[in-house]
Formats: sequence, C-alpha cells, structure tokens
Amino acid sequence: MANCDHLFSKYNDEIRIGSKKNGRMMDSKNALRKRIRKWFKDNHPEYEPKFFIQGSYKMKTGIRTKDDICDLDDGVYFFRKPDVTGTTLQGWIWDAVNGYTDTDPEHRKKCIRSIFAGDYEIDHPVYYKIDGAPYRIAVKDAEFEDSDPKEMVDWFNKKKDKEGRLIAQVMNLKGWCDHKRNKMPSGLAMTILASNAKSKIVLNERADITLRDILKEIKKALDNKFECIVPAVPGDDLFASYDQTRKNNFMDALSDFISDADKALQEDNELTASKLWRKHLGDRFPLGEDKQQNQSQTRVNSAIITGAATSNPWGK
Amino acid sequence: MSADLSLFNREAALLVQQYPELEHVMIKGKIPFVHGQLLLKDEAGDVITEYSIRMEPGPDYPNWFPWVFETGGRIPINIDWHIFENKGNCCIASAPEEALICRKGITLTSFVRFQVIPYFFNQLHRERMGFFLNERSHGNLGHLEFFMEEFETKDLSIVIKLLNEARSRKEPKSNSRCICGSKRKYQKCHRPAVRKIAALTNMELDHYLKIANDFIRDRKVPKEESITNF
Repeated sequence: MANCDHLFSKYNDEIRIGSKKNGRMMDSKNALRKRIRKWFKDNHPEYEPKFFIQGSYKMKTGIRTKDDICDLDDGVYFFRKPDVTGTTLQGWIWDAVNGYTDTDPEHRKKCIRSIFAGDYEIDHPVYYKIDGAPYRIAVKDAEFEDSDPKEMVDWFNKKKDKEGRLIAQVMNLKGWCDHKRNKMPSGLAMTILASNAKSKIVLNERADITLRDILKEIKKALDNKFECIVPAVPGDDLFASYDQTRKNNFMDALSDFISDADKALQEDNELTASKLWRKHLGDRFPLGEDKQQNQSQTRVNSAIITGAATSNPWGK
Repeated sequence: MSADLSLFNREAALLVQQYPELEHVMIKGKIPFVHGQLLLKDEAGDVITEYSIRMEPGPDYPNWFPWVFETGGRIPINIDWHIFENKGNCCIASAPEEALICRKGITLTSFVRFQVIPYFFNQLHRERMGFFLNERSHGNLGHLEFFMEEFETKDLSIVIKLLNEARSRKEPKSNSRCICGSKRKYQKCHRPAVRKIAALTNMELDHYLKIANDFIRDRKVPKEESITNF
C-alpha cells in the first residue's frame, strides 16, 4: 500500500511553469500589450484596449507540456460597440502583434496566437462589452458571441480549496491528457470535470487517493451523461462535437487510468506503484524507491486494520 | 412498524455512560438522538482519531439498525463511501446481515461496539490507504456476497440450495451428507450456517432466492474478482 503522495508533489513541481519561463512569458505579455495599445492609439484611437489575464494562467492550473510549451490567455477588451466585424477586430490585433515573434501570429477562431517557438504561446481573445449586455467575443468568420471568461475564473475560484489540492489535481489531469494526446479533452474540460467531481468527494490529504477518487467521479458523471458544460456564458458543451471514436477513446483511457490507480493504491512496492502512475502520466512522473511500504507494519495502521476487520459496509 | 423510542432512550442512557464523549438528547415532541465524538482507539487505548456522529432510532429500532450520520464533513455523502445518498446515513451492513444481527438482538451499546466502531475504522482505512479493508458490492450483489461468505462458497447454485434448505424449515439428519456436495456430514459442514440464515423470514428468504435465481438466469453470476475479500 505505497503512499505516492510525495511523488505527486515532485510531479507537480516538474510540470509547473518554472519561474524563468514565467518571467519570460510575463515580459512578452507586457511587450505585446504595449504594442497593442500603441497600434490602436496610432490607427484607431477611438478603440482603447484593456487587458485581463484569464484561463489556466489566471486559475494557476497552467502546466508545461511534455514539449516544454505553456500558454497564457491575455484577453483584450473594448468597452464600446465595435463598428467593424469580429474578424476585422481580431485582424487589428493580428496587425498589432505581428512582427514581435519570429513566426507570423496565427489567426485562430477565437483568438490571435503569438508563438514563441519552443517556449510558450500567448493568446489574445478579443471582447467587447457595453452596459447592460453580456461580454461578447470576436469569432473569426462569424458574428460576435456571448462569452464571459471572468465568470469561469470566478466559478473555479469558488470551487478551489485553500490547500491547493484541486489546483494540483487539475494539473495532474492536464498532465495525463498531454501525455496521452490522441484527442484527449482540453485543459478547460478537465478543469470543469475535476471541479464538478470535487463536490462529490472529500479531498484526501494524499494526492494519489484524491486523483483516483476524482477520476472515478468523472467516470460516474460521464457514464450518466457524456457532457462537459462550461459554467459560464454561453454554457457550451465542450463534448458536443465529440464523435463516438473520440468519446470511446477518452472513456477507455479513463477506465484504464482508474484500474491502474486502484492497483497502485493497493501495491506495497513504491517503485511498482510509481510505474503504474507513470503509464498514464508519462516519464515526468518520478520513479519511487524499490522498497516495500507495508502500511500494516505501523502500530496505528495495524490498529486500523484490526478495528476494521469485521466491517463489511454495503450500499444500494 | 415504528421505532421503540422508550427502548432507545433507556439504552442511550446506558450507552453514554460507556461512551462519555457521546450525549443523549431528548427534546419533548422530537425524536431522541445521541450525538458527539466517536473515539477510535488502538489496543493501548490511545485515541487514533475521532468522528463526529449522530445516531437516531430510525424507523424501526430495534428490528433494524438505528440511523448513524457522520456530521463532521469528513466523509462525503456518496454511495461509494457507503453513505446513503438520499438521507446521508451510513450503510453499515447488507440487508440480510442487518436483519440477522437485529433478530439475534441488539442494544445501542452492542451496536456501537460491534457495528459502528468497525465501520468507522473501515472509513479510516479508506481515508488513510485509499480503499476499504472489506466492503460489499452495491445493490443485490452485496446481499449475495454476504450469503456466499456465510456459506463459504463462490458458487451461487450452492447458495440457492442452502437458502432453499433454510426455507424448508426441515433439517436433514445430522449424519446425512451435506447438500452442498462436499461429501462431509451436514452437521460438520453447512448446518451452523443454514441454522443462522433460517432466522430470516420466509418472505425474506424468497426475496433473496429470487435475487440469486435472477442472477443465474441473467448470467450475472458474480465473478471471483468482483467478490470482495473472502
């Protein structure tokens, strides 16, 4: 019954965005903001951009992928009704940030992406807001859509615990999806699924136990209904576009992970247990020592086992 | 049937003498209850941990267990933690097991000592190690697991034979071969278990026989790996 909590701490440190990379990313964010402000002042002074960091960076659930890439969402806000299309407004941001990175920015559906090759990406989703109406995001080749990223951050902040256990588990789940790739769900989806699961359990002091418990609750919820509703306007279902193959791929990966997590929790040898976690989290998850962690050998655990010996709880 | 509240109150008064961290509360016109801290101790008497609990007579004490609630928020209201999700009370034992224990006779003190404390030790095992030391499957499979454990077999057809034997209310002669097919004498083999199970009513035995037969008919015979820890 190997306790791998300490290995999860090391794993979290390994996938967390380090201070040097974070510093570079902040410098780039500030430089891009400066360019965007200047571009609008020079070209469209009637539009005054405001900025709000959002997404995983804001929620502190950001990770470094196995390719050592991380991202930052820096929302650009205009507090006026645009007299141009969303695509044009996005194009203006593209013009503003163009030339700062070695490669051209990407004009994506809901953001302009600046790629700092091999290091990180900074996304600029573009919004406008007028009094009495919801925030609206610019969408390429489409109209503006209702979308409030702050609502998602607020929702997550209410869900998270002060010990940071939920944040750590979201990072673990994102690390799992990054390791598996193969069209696994997005980081946002895993954040929502984990936060919903958290309300059904009590977070354990041990990260390995909590991760297994969250995985099981996610599976229970998805077995009941395969959906992942964003808890913010416009309440999109992130799984709405999943075909059967993609759904099966995720559900199979989830079942496999739960099965190995159960085995890891019951495994006495720390190295063997760590290899079971590694199957799903990749080789950034550290290997444990090749030693037995027989929990029943401690006086307290021996008493617990003796005390529980005659209990056979049931459930309907 | 309804709970015997005067019996509950008499026994609760005795219980709190043995467990001073528990308090017996009686408010006129309300259901009495016991609440407080349940201490889990090691063999030396040192406290390992404590759970906040509340115990109510439930709808039919002492014919069924009282209702026990963990009130400290340490256990989620989640069936996988063996907490009934509709009322939030603890699922301490499978229904036939509970019926037999109650039929043999329980007091609040024996209930706390032999059912509640082991249950919370098992919860502590789950909290510290990530899994219950022993547990029954949810639903009807959990009932069948109980009978399989009592009859020391994983063969559901033998369970059905032995349940029918209990249902017949007629015992074979002591020197007869056991009906399980072991070639052992009945008195040395399944007689004690069948006698124990025979404390269930005909209606209860018919119910569990139907469950067992349905499992076989639907080819849902419990697989070895789904049967927990025996």
